[in-house]
Parts: sequence; structure tokens; C-alpha cells
Amino acid sequence: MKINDEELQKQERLGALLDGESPDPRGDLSWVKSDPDLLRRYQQYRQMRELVNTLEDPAPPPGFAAGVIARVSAPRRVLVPSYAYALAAGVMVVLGAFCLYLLAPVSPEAVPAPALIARDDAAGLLLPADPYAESWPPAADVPDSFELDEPMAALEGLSGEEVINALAVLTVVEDAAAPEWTGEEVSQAGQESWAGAGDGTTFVELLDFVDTLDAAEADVLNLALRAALEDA
Amino acid sequence: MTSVEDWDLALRAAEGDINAFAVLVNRYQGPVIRFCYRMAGSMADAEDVGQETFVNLYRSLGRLRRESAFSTVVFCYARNAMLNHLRNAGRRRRRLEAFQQENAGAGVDPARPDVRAQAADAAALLETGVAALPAEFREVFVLREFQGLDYQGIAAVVGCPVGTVRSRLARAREQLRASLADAYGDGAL
Repeated sequence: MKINDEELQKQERLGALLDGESPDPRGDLSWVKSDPDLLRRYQQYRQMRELVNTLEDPAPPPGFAAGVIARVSAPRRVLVPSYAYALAAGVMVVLGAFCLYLLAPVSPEAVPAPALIARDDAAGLLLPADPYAESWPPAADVPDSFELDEPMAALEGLSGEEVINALAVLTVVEDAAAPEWTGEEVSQAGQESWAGAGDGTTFVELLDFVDTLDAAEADVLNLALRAALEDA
Repeated sequence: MTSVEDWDLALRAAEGDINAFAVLVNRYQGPVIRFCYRMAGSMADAEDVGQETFVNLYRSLGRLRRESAFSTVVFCYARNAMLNHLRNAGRRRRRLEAFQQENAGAGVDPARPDVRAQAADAAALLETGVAALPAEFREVFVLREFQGLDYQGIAAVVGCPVGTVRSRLARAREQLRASLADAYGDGAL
């Protein structure tokens, strides 16, 4: 039976009045009395309620409460589905494998490569992270043949980009606010050390040299590396 | 009988005092059976659903929270048990409907075997009309007219807003009024 909203609202209002849930009982009663149709319906609702009150309430069957108590007092059977055993066995196998993994001898932890260029500034604050970090090639591009102890001459077969990649793996930190130092402004000592690098200089020695650089000199090297990357 | 006492008994029952739970069962078996009977239309079904109500309630005692009247909690459990019963009854009824069609004229609603189609008087007709209401209308009508719950209480049991209770009650009353008017004439009720 489809009814429109207005009709439903009338019915709800009549029902609320009947149930004592009307927010304005006097107003609603006046409203009902003002309309013969509403008044007839309201009286029919009241008659229905009177009919409901004449209906016999069924009594609980004899022994109902005792039956409930007997059921809740009985030991409860726990049904274990058959698949639960297979599941438990599977869990045990996984746990056992995990325990074996934990007990297995562990390979020596790899020594993290030192940061190539990471300096504290004069105030002792750490330089911010490399803002160009995303532009560095991913570490996975580091060639497998790259060995830190190899003489740099052996690294000639690597492209500039590959060398840059390897250096990038070692966390090149650049101070984006650093001024653009020219090569001439790198300390004389630094220049001499760098000039001393020859074919026999290993990459580790190069890293040691980098450790001697101050912040300004590190910036110069950063810029040089970046330029080499762009050229590669 | 106060709600506070009910919760005290429930707490003791949760701790293993079966006698405390027996007191609660004795207190609420009447309202639960009346509700289940009006919803199911069968005393046998009302007894089954009533038992399920109390068994489920007992098993949940340790998890109940004192956020509402205990009577509201009892009716919630009764309603849930009844909804499960009606869903299962619906499946059974569909199987029986095919049988009914082959045996037309049986004149008995298979879902409510105790409710007879021939209504000798208005009260019986009303009872038939209540049994014929859609479940969502029937439950609010039963809770209001047979259990005396107010709109807030009904909303708490049924789990819907008060406005929805008001709307469903209105539709239930109108459907019953129409069925009675059909039998007795609009002005003769």
C-alpha cells in the first residue's frame, strides 16, 4: 500500500498522540477534532488498542524456565571442525620453519659504507638531507664489479655515471644553501691531496681524502660530481 | 523488580551463580514468550525461540555492559533469535508454498499454523492481521502494543532511529485498520 508523505505524517501524528509521544498533545487533539476523518481514524486506533487488550496473553509453557536452566547448565560440546586439525598442523610447520630460520647461523653484518660527504657545519648542526637525492640513480644500478679496494686505474672501465652512482650509494649529502665555490677556492692542501691521486689511488683512499675536506670543499666536490653525472 | 537488581543478578550469573540466572529467567519468560508468540504466531515456535533467547543471553553475560535497561537487552536477544527463526521459517515456507499450491484450499498459513484464516470476531481478526504484518512492522507493533515499550525503548531494541519506529508503527496501524475496515466496514470498527 503506497502512501504519500503527507498521509504518512498524519498517521504518525495520530499514532504519537495515541501513544503519549506527542510533543504537543493539546494541539494535536484540537487538530484531530477539527477533522471528522481524522477523528474517525483516531477512534479506530483506540478501538484497535482495546481489542489488543482483550487478547489473551499466552503463558510460558510449564517447565520453560527449568528447561532453560537445564540447557545452560549442561556441559557444552565444543565441535572442532575437521579442517581445524589440518590448519593447526600447518601453523606448527610454519612456526617450526621460522624457529629454524632464527637459529640458523647469521652472516656477519655488512659494515655500512661511510658517507662520502656528510659534514657537520660550524655550529655542529647536521646538514639537511640531499634535496637532490631523488635524482641520484638507484643503488641497484651500482655495478657488481665495483670493489672499493680496487685501484682507481681498474675503475677506468666504468663510466662517469657508474662512478657517480657508486658514490651516490654512499650517501652524498649536499648543502643546498652552500655557495658555489670555484675550484680555486678549495684549500691548497685539499688540492694537493687530490692532485696526488694517481692511477694507484684506490677508492678507499679517495674516500679517506674526502674525509679530510671541510664543508666548503665538500660542496665543491659535490658540484663536480653532479656535473659529471649530468655529463654522463 | 528494578533494572538495578536485574543487572546485579546478571553480574552474579556471569560469575557462575546459576540461581541468579534462574531468577532472571522467571522474571522475563512471560514478556519473552509473549513477544515471540506474537512474532511467530505459534506457541511451539515461541517456546523454541524463547529458549534460544535465554541460552544466548546466558552465554553472553560476561560481555554485557550496563549501558541500557536489562529489559532492553533481553528484548534485543529475543528479537535476534526471532529474526533468525523467521529467516529459517521463510526458507521452509517457500518449500511449503509449492506443496500448498498443489493442495489449494488448505486455508492455513504454513508459517503460522496456529493462526486460522476464519476470524469469528474482531479480536481474532486483529490477531490474524498482526500475524500478517511484515516482520519489521510487526515487531514494532508488538513491542508497543503488547509489551508497552515507548518509542525510545523500541528504537533501542530494534536498533533504528525513533523516527523509523514512528513511521513503521503508523504503517502497521494503518494496515490493520484497513484490514478490519474491509471486514467490518469503515465506520463499524
